[in-house]
Amino acid sequence: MSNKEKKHEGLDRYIILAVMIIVAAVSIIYKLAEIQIVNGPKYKEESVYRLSAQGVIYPKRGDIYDRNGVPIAGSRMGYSAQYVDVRMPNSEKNRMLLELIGILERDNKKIKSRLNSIMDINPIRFKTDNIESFIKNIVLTQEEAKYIITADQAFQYMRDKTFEIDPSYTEEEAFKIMQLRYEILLTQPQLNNPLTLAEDISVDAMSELEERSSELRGVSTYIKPYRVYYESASLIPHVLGYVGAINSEEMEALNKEQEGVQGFVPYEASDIVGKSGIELGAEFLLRGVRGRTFLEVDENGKVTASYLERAPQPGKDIYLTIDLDLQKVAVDSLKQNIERIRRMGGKKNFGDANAGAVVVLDVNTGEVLAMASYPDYDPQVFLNNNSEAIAALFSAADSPLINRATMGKYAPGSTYKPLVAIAALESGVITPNTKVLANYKDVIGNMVFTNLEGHQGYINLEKALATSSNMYFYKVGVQTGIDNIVKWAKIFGFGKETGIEVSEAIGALASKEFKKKYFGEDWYPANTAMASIGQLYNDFTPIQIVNYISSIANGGKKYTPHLVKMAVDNEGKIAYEGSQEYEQLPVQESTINAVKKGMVAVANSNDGTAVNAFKDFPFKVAGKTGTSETGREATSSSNGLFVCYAPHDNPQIAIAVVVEHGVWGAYTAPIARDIMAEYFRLNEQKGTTKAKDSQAAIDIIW
Amino acid sequence: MRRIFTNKIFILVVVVVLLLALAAVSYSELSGVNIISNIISVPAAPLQRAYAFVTGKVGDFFGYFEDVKKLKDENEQLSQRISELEQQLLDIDRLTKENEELRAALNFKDQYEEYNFLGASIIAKDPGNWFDVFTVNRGINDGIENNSPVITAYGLVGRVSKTDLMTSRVVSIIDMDSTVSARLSKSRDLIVIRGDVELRAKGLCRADYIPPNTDIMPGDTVETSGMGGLYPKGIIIGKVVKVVKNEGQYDSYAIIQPMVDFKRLEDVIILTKKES
Repeated sequence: MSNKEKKHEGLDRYIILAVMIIVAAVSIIYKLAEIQIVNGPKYKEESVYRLSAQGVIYPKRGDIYDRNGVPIAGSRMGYSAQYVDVRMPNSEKNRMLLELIGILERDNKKIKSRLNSIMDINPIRFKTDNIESFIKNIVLTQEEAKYIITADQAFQYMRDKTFEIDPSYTEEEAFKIMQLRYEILLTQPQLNNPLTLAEDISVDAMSELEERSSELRGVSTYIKPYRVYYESASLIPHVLGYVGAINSEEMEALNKEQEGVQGFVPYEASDIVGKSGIELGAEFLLRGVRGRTFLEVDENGKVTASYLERAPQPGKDIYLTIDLDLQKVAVDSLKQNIERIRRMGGKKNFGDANAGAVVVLDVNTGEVLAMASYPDYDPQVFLNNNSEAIAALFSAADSPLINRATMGKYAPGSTYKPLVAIAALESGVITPNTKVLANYKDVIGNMVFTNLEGHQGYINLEKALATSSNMYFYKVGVQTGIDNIVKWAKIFGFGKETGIEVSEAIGALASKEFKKKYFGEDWYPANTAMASIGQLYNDFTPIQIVNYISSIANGGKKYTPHLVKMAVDNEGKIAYEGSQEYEQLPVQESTINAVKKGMVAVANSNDGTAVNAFKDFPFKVAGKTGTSETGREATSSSNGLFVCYAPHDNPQIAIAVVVEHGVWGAYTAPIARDIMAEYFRLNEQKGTTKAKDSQAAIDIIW
Repeated sequence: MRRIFTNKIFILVVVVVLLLALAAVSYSELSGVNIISNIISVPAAPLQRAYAFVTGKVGDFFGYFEDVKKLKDENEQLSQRISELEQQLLDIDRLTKENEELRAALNFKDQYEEYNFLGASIIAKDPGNWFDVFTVNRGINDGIENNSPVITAYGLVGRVSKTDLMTSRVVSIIDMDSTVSARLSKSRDLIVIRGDVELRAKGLCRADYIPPNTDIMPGDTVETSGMGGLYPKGIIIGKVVKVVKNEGQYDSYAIIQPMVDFKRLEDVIILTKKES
């Protein structure tokens, strides 16, 4: 072989090599250009979309304590599981999802699927006639939709085509996979809208899901604080209320209400909000605001990095004005005395006492120290998502969910008489010493009225209040005039909200306007007589009544009764304090003193209507009984009311008690007695001789 | 000459086609076949091992010719030590027996009862300072399975993430692909130990889901809970370095210093399930 040949051969080789390298290089460069330049923006968008997501940090709702720091409501840590769809072969996906379902089923969690409302197995059948959109969802091409008619066909189609479920799975297993996959198909869960698989899973399930997260692709868990009500919560279910997931109307209303408020972060779907009670009333204090994170996520939905975009704001802890020890006494005594009244029999007692309310107010601050409503319920029901038990509460005939202390409306009966006395004294119709003839029978405004107290002769205000003389107040009321009475009723807060943080009724005030508006009739003097003893259209809430008694007790100061003593923020700083401001009512001291004298006599003079209730107390209690007719006295007992404050010369607390069908006002006085004894620690001083007398019979006069 | 030339071309083409085919097959992520990686890793394993051995031992080589006299003294000391140890061994035998009896009495289940212990050496690791993902010289042939726990005498290393015939890949607890269900040894609270991008660079990992008001302090020990199903319970993972409470967040997290030194890791123990 010649050199030339050799050279030529060498050249040949180099050319071939060069060509090969060039071909390889060109094809690589071509592909690179396609990736980088032609489809570059598309891939970039895809990669960014895939790799970043918004994360949520769920906030803690504020705790609720009583005034002494006894916990009522708090939070606990819960785990939830979510899923982000990951591209993988159907066979692998089905196996993984079945395993996932297994883990959750062992935790007694059932995955919610919209397939459940459409289809059932054993036997395979449709649960609804409306399957058109369902078929549309599962077919791969719309052409095929017309061949699917029966449930069996649909099942088989999903199994073979839509989800490609391996024939080795049983029908049950296949259906479980279908349920989850149908939900995934509809939701298309991506990083920014993950599918919540199960809420509040056990720590076992969380551990398993987490530890196996590299196999269970797309599955992740997250932390969420859940509301807890401690044992003490069952003492004040009505004041506490409950929480739940926000609905769209609430969201709209709350966002509108707080629009423009500095630092307000709008509510979002699935936020937790207060639904009633102080959970609702103090919503803006208790509410925690979600935090936001910016997440970097790999293709399995696993977070690889997270940046805090907005820190979550935990809700503020609130301290109620309620004293749980006192509350317990109020709750127990209310229940026991209602049962006692029901059993005690006697004239006019139909044994139908079944409900009631009691409110205790600090007369010098407007703080509600205790507020009980009977019947009651265990607020735990609302946290367990026990929908049957919740529905039963809502439909119960005795309305246990109603807070009768603020929502119950009752004719005040004779507890209204101090108010009429104030109106009469202030308008100059009487003086404390004016004597009025309280005869047995008299004509007032063309109508004959009788005095239940019999013929009492000429009596003054003190005697009239002590004996609850109807005839005295018929006559004085008519002389004072309904307009004057209404004027003073409004001054003392009747006919409008008291301003307490929880839902309250306004009630009704017997007035000329009211009668005209609702009955279209003119007012007669006889109406005034009836209104003067707290009947006719008068309808007040216990909170209105106790606030009025409190204003008498403290010498004419009208506070806003409140339940939140203070709120403390995350750093321990006081963020809110219940207002202790008051309105000085335009009432003369002499007027107040004259009324007080009468109320002291109620519980202390020989002929007082509640003289036995407090006779062993070391100080004097001022009170007033009230028996309000419901208009159905032929078949049911009247409502019993009792209001009081103590000590008479240095008032600290005021109490209003209402027992529906409590027969007589005085029957309910023992409830107030028990509360007083607890508040002033009388039981401790006297050892264990706890108020046996409270069960004793009490003189009954109107 | 011409034949040789054609031969070379032929060889070249065959090699190129083979490589492309290999690339194509191994590219398909759905192949699910480890043959390719076995083809490469099986012959490569001894090489990798040799490389690791050589680099490990070069340093020792220079210390080899230390004073022989020293060794002699040491020998004497060691002989004495042996007799001491023999005595201790007797004690241990007695104690083991006692322990077994007591355990039986208490119906105590040994956390490792269901496992075989298999020693393995690291033969390769991913780039970087840390042994966060590495390859060991044991594989399917040795009974290694995916998710087999990997430990050392000090504590938890991680788990097997991929097995070949003679090698396995181990993902350590500082890697982001690792999650371990764990417990605070003192308070018994359940937490989750995860690898973290930033902490991995320091050989640390993080403990998530620490409930509020948990009794946790730097220095506290963290161990496997056994609740996730992958790891047996009671394996020491590490110690708490720092507890971090993010602003406004309900739960806190902690930074964990693993017991295992992921900077210097040579031999590990792989736990394989006993055939029952």
